[in-house]
Amino acid sequence: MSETFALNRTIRPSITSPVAFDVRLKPYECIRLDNGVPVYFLRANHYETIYLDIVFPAGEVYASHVLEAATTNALMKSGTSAHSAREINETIEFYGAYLDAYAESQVAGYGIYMLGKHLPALLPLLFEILTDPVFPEEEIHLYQQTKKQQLRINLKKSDVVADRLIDEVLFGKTHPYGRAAQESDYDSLHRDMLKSFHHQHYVLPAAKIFMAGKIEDHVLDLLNQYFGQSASQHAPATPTVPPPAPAATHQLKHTIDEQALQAAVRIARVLPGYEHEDFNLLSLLNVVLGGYFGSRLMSNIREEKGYTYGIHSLIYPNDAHYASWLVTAEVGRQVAEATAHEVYHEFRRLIAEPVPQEELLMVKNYLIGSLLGRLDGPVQQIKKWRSLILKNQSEQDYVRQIQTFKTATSDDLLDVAKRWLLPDEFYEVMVF
Amino acid sequence: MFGNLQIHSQSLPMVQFERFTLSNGLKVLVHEDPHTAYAVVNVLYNVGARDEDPDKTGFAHLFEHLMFGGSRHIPDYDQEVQIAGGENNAFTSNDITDYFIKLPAANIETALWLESDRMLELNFSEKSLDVQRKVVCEEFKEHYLNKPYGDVWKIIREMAYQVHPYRWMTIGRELSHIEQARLEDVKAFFYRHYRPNQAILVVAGGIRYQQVKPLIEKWFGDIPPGEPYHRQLPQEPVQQEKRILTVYRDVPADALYMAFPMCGRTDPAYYATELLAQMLGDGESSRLHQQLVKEKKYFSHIHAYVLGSADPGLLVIEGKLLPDVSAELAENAVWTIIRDVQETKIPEQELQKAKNRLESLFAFEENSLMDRAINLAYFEWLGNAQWINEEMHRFEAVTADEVQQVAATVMQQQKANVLYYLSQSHHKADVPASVANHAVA
Repeated sequence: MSETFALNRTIRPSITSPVAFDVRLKPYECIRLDNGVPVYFLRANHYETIYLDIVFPAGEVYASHVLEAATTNALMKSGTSAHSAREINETIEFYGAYLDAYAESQVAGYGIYMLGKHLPALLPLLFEILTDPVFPEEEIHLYQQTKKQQLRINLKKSDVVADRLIDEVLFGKTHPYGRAAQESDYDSLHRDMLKSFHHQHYVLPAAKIFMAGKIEDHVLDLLNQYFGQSASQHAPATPTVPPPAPAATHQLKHTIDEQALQAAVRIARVLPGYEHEDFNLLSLLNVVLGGYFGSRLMSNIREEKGYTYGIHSLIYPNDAHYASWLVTAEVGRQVAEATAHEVYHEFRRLIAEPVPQEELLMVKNYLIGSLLGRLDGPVQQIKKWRSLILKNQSEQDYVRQIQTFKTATSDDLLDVAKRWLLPDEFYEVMVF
Repeated sequence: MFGNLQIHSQSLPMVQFERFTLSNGLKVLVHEDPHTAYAVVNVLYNVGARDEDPDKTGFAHLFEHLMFGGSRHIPDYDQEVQIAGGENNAFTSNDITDYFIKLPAANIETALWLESDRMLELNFSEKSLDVQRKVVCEEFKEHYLNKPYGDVWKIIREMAYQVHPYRWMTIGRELSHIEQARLEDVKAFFYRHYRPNQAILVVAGGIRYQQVKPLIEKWFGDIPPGEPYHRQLPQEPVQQEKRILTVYRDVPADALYMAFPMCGRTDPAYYATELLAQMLGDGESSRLHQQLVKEKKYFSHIHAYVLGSADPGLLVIEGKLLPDVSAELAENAVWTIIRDVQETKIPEQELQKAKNRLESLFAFEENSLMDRAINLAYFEWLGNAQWINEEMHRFEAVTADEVQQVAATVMQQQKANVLYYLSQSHHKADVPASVANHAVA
């Protein structure tokens, strides 16, 4: 096959711009178990697998001790009245399942990835773990030893230390979003604390269940049989989140290794959370700043100056009211100050000059493209639904967010930049 | 044209694909997936760290970075991907270099345009080389020099491989090799390895074969082939005696590493070897974890795995010791467990567990378009893309006897490479006296 004309490689093939795509979530199905627990799910019967996530209001904000929420969550699978840790691990692993125990700021729970055919064998055990853990002393002790050692290793890493310090600087040492564990905190864990936390917060009627994959009707029946029968014991607690208590000074330098070749740089501020009217525009502005490979920060500090292997910015929402806007990089030690200087320079550029049309369009295309890319398949879609539902948001909120991304103008971004990107309002941590 | 249809009793559905070769030698695989609006274009080049000059290591990986510095007709690769709503990345190993783009299927031609242009010719520039050199140096520091246990793999590779190019890491043997890389070397590397007859292209996702085949021919057809590359690497001699090394570093916990030479990825014994490693040390119910973490409390973590390299690889056991546990005591405890596997019949349940875990993993990979695309390229590179549908069978067919046999031949004292990676903050009175290599301070 020969071309009758020379192939012109300088001309970009025609594309459909992602901003033109309709970003829609596939509608979920929802049933309520006998005790009112909602199950949100997406069927995909061409899958052989099931992803199941059981979510409880048992996150950090409910805990007074820095390790209470995470430890309770981690050790629930270390023994029940009927089965030892060994038996539990053996069964889960025999059926090729993967258990993902997690404790976030608001919620905690267990995700499980398994082959659909093994669900009947695994579900009773999962139910046991979540409702009848006994927290054996020996398992607690082993956990303490392991985690303390892990902590000692982690505290030698400048990136880990920097991540801990920046949260502390923004929110304060005792705040649920600012506190971090020391070795002594592991020592002060004890069985009664974990039993009590479990009893208070892993209350089945307060749970929400999310599922995706090969979901046939018998799966729903089984879920109801196990998770749908516990009656309400008490209402779940309401969390208390105090306002941030930021550090007195805006710059902190900390050395853990005189010989270190790299420094970890963190520049951050507290933002209002996802309920705030500026939140969506700020998310878009964040992409321009440092949210993709062609961002202002990457283009300047990595591609032009070669200071780092990667520099990014991100907004992580802690809850409806507080989020953190963070710039993060590991850079050559001798260019740490220069990096910070360039970061503030990029802030000032965004405050002074509107984002050019071409760049804004590219960012929008990237953003919509990557959002779509993250909604590929039922598991990803149900995780997105989970994120919305746990924030008490609806599909309308999501549609509105996408609309903002698609229709925001350079002036809109300039406006939020002027209000939220002022260098003096940021805090800076460098760990050598 | 069609991948061979096979009847099998497995619950895993078949991955269907078409295969053809262009006149310039480019191998092409096309896999349709009607369930997704996305497409993946994956290009695998037949070059890895093992193909490097021992005095110019780190090149394959440095090159991976340079591939993003612009091609002959397209100055900014990443920007074009972003405009089309895609994401892209790449990785380099000791065996291969792989590039992938995921983007809306409607924009598939953009991906083909981009990948074909940089296969045609890179935009070689001093500036690009200069920046990427610096970036790779920072990567070297971030992952290997500035991190506790960062130099473990450098040490293990140099111990286990005396001759074979696997003796250096993908990032490079030394920082100076990267710092001294010259543009002429870069160009020579490109024309030797980045040719269509050294590459495998996979196009997968919400596309149609009839639609993309002509587009592939259009964009890739006129790229000239290069000289055939005949890989001739020195073979690693069989290890005859145990090698032990003790090093002291600024780390808070002692660590033990044991690496055993094993077969290559395409050897029939590979499957039994991977299952052996799984049974020994993958997951909390595995033998090493159960006995040495939970019961004896010698380790805070321990696990076992195989390096599935194309040339003969390594079966590795690694763990972090709890305080006041000597490395020698821990090593002896590991040997006790190894001997048990070698001498006592392996329960069927335990073998089935390892197979079930793999079946699960394969099922999850199958759900992922990206994994399917990369696996198709990888298996084609190994010998035949159809293996994507056959691997689970091969694992299923392994018997307990075979696993024991592999344990007996691979996990011998005189074939072990043992590293005691100790904290310099305390002295250990019981460091083993018998060292085959010098102790490094």
